Amino acid sequence: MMGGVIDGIALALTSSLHLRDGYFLEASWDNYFYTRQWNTPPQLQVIVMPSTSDQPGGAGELGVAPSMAAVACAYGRATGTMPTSFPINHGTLSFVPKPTVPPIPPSPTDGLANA
Amino acid sequence: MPQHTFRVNGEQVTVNVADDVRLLWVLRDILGVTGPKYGCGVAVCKACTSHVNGRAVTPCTIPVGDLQPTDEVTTIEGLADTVGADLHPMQQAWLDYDVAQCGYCQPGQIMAAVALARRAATEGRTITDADLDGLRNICRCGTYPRIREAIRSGANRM
Repeated sequence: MMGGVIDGIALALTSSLHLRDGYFLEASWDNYFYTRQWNTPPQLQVIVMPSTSDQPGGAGELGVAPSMAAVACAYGRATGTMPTSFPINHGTLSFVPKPTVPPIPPSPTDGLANA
Repeated sequence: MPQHTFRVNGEQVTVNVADDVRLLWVLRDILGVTGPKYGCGVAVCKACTSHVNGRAVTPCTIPVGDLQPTDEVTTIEGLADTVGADLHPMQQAWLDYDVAQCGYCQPGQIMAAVALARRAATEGRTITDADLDGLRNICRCGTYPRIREAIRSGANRM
């Protein structure tokens, strides 16, 4: 359920890929804006309601859809403009695309300097 | 092939490998230390986070030739030994808060958490929301809220 909420936040706001001329501008997870630690709700309480069925079941990724809708509605209330396409921030490219040559960059060499 | 000598989890090791091979692959492929996970190889996912001389690093960005014989590399495998216990307090906090989902990023998350807790303690302060927001380790399962709780708890026990 927690992961579903985190997914829903990303789907509503930032989680998308940009296809240009046959390739994606996103070079890595760092460009693909899934929810990160700095976008995480400071408080999150998950309440699992008691079952009303004799059949086994679960919530699982069902948590994604309602939490995405909740984020979209919250955005609409906060800004006064109801969003109609998602993710809301898709039109804003929030990173500088990496060069595509070479296709796989070498690993950096400054690890110790960053210790 | 050049020889490189350094320390891994309290033991002196020597490997025969080219200078520019990054430490992550030396650990995983030559020494069989697979706690540090390979996610991106370009220091953006932080799944390989480990410590060199107690400070957090990404082994995917350290040419093995940069290491000195006295440099101590600590991976998740050696973390508990640094406190002489079966589990480091941060690992215990991880269990108490049932943090892991798929688990792939968690060794790196824990090593980053320990380094953060040490830094805050050195500066004589508790961990802030801003500190936690500064963690770049990616968790695609989205366990971020549990990670935050566990880090605060683990830091209190360190």
